[in-house]
Amino acid sequence: MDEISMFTALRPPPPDDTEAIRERARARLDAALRQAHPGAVRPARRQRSRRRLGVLAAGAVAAAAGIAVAVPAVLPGNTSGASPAAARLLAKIATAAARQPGPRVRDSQFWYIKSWVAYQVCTYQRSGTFKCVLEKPHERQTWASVSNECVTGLLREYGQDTRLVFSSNYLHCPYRGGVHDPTYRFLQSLPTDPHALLGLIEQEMQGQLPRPEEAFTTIGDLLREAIAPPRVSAALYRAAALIPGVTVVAHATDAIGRHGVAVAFTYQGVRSEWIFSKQTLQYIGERDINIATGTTTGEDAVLQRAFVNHAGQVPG
Amino acid sequence: MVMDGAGPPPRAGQPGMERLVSDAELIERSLREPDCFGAIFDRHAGEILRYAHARLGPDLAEDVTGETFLAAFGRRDRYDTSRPDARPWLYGIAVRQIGTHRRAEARYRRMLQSVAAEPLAGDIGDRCAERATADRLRPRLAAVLSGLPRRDRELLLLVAWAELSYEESARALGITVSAVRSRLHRIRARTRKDLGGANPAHIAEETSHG
Repeated sequence: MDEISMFTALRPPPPDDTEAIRERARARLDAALRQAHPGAVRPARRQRSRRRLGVLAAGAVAAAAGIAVAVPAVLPGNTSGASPAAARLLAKIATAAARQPGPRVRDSQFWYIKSWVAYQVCTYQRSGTFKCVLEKPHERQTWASVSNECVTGLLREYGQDTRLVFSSNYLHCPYRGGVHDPTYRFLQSLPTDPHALLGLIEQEMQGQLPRPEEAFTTIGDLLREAIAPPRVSAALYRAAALIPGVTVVAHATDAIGRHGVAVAFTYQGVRSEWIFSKQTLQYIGERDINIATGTTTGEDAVLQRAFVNHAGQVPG
Repeated sequence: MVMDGAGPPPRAGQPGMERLVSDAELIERSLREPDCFGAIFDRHAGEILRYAHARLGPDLAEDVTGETFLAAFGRRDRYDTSRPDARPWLYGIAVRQIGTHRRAEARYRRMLQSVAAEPLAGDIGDRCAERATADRLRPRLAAVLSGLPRRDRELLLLVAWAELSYEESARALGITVSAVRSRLHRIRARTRKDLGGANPAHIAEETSHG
């Protein structure tokens, strides 16, 4: 008999009232969970589960776990890019974006983005699965430093202010920037050739998702809660036109009921729509729709974008 | 429980898309959706509670369990998501929490030591020979346990009470697997020495007759 296992006999028996103790300890944790807010850990990224989990996703593993994985609408075998209608629309959107006046921005400033959002919140069930519901639509405001000097930003959501703490990437100052944690200075440095830009974005995607889906999501993140110089915005739209599987949705409605035309990508039964004003062709928001049930699984209407002098300052 | 550590996120209203997810995935997800961390509690709190109870007794077990999960939640952004199973990480945090109650732990161990001298009630009839041997050794083993250096005791109890593997214990304590092996080797040698011989079975004989 091994000496180590002899000590097992000394282990005292478990407590009688395990369940009651567990419940009380769970209540303490729940209080902390209620105080914590999504987005509090890393700067400026949406709590969009697809991106975060997408990094880990692998169809083969998912299939092995007994899940039906929908085949993306178009796989990279089709190299012709977006549908002709989507390519035409994106070209017009890009032209409109390039005509916008370029802002004069100082390093000490912050971009300010106000949006009206509702995302899917998933709670864990005791059965070991998630139950997901769309949260109540609410206002979200973010401030992020223009510079790469690791200045703390701010998130104002759910009636609370949260400092946007730097992710580990920011430990090196000045921060070099990346498509997943962009600053205005970083976006300014991006190539304006759409092929070069898409190549750079694909290089930074660590995901094992089908690339079109990941590229569409990455560009979508940059359109939603970031401000890019006009030439780079235009290049982002032209790069999106190179992604196979991108289509047009003629009539789309954003989170506050504005109608528009959308550029969309469907993946695993969910259609993500970037919605644009039909008049100005400016980006107004995004909506994710489960195409089987027609339910919204996430929505984000951009209400205001501006540069301000300090985090927390609301433009007049 | 499936520990796949990968796969697409579940989507609302998609029957058949529910699936089990790894601890790593839950923790990563909890960065955006804090509620997901409750799932880590639901999976492992029972085990951590039993361990804390074994170490400190009923009064502090609840406290340590609560503090362990609060501390884990607070540092979830530092979790190594290449590890699907969070148990070693949680035990590592629990061990530090237990470490803040050293006096209480020593008191509880002394209490156990005195209890250990009494025979266990109950399953005497079907108790296997090894178990009986160990039972006779209980008071002396308890004394060995109390006499071990603290670091060795932490490791021994993770292996013997929490039933962690060498690899898991190494991760919990932040040491290498070879350090685990060499420490356990030292603990075995010391146990043999303290029990007064090289063969525990032989000692048991002596104990039972003497």
